[in-house]
Amino acid sequence: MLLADKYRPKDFANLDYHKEQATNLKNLTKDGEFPHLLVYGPLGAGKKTRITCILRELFGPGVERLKMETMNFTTPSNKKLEIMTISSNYHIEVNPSDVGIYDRVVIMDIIKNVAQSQQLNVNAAREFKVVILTDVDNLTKDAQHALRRTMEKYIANCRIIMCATSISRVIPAISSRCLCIRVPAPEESVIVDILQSTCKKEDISLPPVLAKRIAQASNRNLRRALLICETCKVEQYPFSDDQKIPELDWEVFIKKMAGKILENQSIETLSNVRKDLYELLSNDIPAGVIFETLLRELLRKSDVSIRETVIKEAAEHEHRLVQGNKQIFHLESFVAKFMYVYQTFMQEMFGDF
Amino acid sequence: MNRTKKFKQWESFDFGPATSTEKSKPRKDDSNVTKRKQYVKPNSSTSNKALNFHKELAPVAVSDLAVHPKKIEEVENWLKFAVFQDKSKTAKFLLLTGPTGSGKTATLSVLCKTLGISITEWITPIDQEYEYNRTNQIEQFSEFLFDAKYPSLFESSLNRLTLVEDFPNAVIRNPEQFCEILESCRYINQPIAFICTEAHNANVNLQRTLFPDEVLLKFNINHISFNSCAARQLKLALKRAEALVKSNPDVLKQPSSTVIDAILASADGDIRNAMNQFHMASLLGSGDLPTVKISTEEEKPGKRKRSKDSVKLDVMNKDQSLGLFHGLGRVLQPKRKQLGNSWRLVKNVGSLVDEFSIQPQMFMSFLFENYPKYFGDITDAAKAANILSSSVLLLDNWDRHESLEFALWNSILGLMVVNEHKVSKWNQIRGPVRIVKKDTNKIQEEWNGVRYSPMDQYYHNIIKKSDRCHKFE
Repeated sequence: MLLADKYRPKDFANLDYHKEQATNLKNLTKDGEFPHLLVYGPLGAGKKTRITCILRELFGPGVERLKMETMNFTTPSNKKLEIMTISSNYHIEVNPSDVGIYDRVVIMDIIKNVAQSQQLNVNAAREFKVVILTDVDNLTKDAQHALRRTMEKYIANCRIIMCATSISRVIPAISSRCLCIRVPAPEESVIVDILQSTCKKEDISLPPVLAKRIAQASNRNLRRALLICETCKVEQYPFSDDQKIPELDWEVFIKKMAGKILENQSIETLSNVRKDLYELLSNDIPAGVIFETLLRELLRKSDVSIRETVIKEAAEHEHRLVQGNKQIFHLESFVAKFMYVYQTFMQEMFGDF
Repeated sequence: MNRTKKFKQWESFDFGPATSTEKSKPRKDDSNVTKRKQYVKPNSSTSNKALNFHKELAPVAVSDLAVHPKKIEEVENWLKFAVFQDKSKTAKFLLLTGPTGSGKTATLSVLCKTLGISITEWITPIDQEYEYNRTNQIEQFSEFLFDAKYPSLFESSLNRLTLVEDFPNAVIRNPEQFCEILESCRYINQPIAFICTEAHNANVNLQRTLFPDEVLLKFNINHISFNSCAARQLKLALKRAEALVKSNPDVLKQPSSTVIDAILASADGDIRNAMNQFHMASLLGSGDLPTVKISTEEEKPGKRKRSKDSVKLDVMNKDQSLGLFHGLGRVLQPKRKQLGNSWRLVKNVGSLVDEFSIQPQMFMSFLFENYPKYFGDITDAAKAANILSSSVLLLDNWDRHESLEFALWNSILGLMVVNEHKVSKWNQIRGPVRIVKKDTNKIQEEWNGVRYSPMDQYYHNIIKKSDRCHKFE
């Protein structure tokens, strides 16, 4: 088992940071009543950990007996869908965006199933079951509207906890029906502390300098920090202070892509970049992350005088990216625009000589 | 047997009900109404003669057909095989497809006449009849096909062919049922021919709904597809018509050569249409058919580019439907006309937009996939990409039908205008790439239900020393 999973806190008492929020959440579950929740925050901030803590607080240790199931659905157009669910007697967890544009069917069916079957266990602490939906910001508009209706209809015996990285893509109708809880990313010093304490539990000695470097490389993503730490251990143990920290392959990939763009601004490069973008997207790298990494890389290499234009364009295109569904259109448009700006700049430079 | 029509006096060219002269007159604007009244009378007296026009012209011999000889041969071979040679106890099916007026029905009937085969055709009964019979259309239809093996009492010929051109509506709505009917008459020792008109619109394209490839394969249906009439063939047919006009100078007059050219240009390979036009033009009372100069601003069929002053019939502006690829070509390779310092687009953008307003998403994906190959300069490409990205945003967030159209207008007009450094070479059109996401279920299962972010999977590969997850090279 990976370190990140092995030492994941199981109840509120063991949480390492955001302790005040933890007490608030704990108080929230004390009462019999419990609202729908929308937990959001950056990756690796501990959203999921907090959700499991809430579940445990609500239902006791029984909620940890998990079983995995593949559920089958049929769309109105008779297409068969399969989706993985993780459930206990008290809750069910599903990521509806796995089935792409058919997410609406999954949401409606699962919530209906859960909501219509009453809590059978008489000794159960609560009258309701919990449905956990992950990646709600990737849901289609259609699914979100469906969710809104079902949320109201089945509130008597079903609560929904949603998990998202950002609520900008969640329709207001949903976020207003939920208690929104933001889980901010832990600070670097917190990450260093956690790395140290985790390593102590594993009997690994982690030099403070390396811990700091890992925390920096993790980009305040605790899960990633733990993973990097473990990866470093695989590559070289005992640790040394100036050990190489493996860089994420997709980041390297995007950097290469940026290199191509800077090297030659032509239609061929554009087509090349499109292929790369397709590869990234089809491997589930979120478009927003691609955009951010790419922009950072491009800005690093471009002159101060064009940065303003580039950032302006990036802002415009990223906005479109969030609003629309066809991400590749906007990514490519930004790349083309950058090529144009960069080329004009280079030509002016050479014109001066 | 009301519903079966005997073809003994079959008019080979199925022109529909013979057009009376009044109907066939070119519809001019209202100012001409008085003028028309004047010549209604003389024409009506000769309407009997006029009725025969198409009959006279109907092809009798194989040589009269305005169809490619190869196609005729194909059909003939099938007929010979199915009616005379093949003695197996199974039904033989033939499917003829082609655009309107390409001579499908004519070919079949002329060949049957020459080979001595009698045709029994299914005509969908009108509503009243089956109210009495208390059976539905589908039952009647299958019964008809089944009964076809019994020779008619009025018909001495033993060689028979069953023809279905007028498919019952119930069957069209329910293609599975059609399959069942085919299945049921599989073992009737009787050749059956189906005729389907090709249509661009998928909804009315019978061939696609009733005869998909698997049906063709399953029932061993012989499929012969007709092309629209070649210009040469049309010309020959019109020559025959001219000869007919010459022999009847008392009722018909010779249309001017410009009109004939216009007819040829606007018929678009549809011989029925051409004949109707010719008939109209040759009527004694009528003046010259109003024609439209095909100026460069109007839509101009590419083939007739050479003759500068080519004309088209005003009345006969058919709704041309562009195929997807044709439409893409128009957008990606726009033709321009220089006007002093500025230029104009040659093609009408509005009609393009109309054409694809049913599936704008699909058209947009095709445009996106293919536009870079037609651009020679990154400046233009950046503009085009920007246009596409803004249009697709409109498409994604549409609330009314209009916004779909705005999106199409934006993208089509934008791409046509922006491309200043066009790459004019043949490019293969590629279909849009569909982003196929990996099946994450399996990986998740292996990891005891924990789902790792795809962004972190690289570390998993290293820690677990596996290459379970995708690696970016």
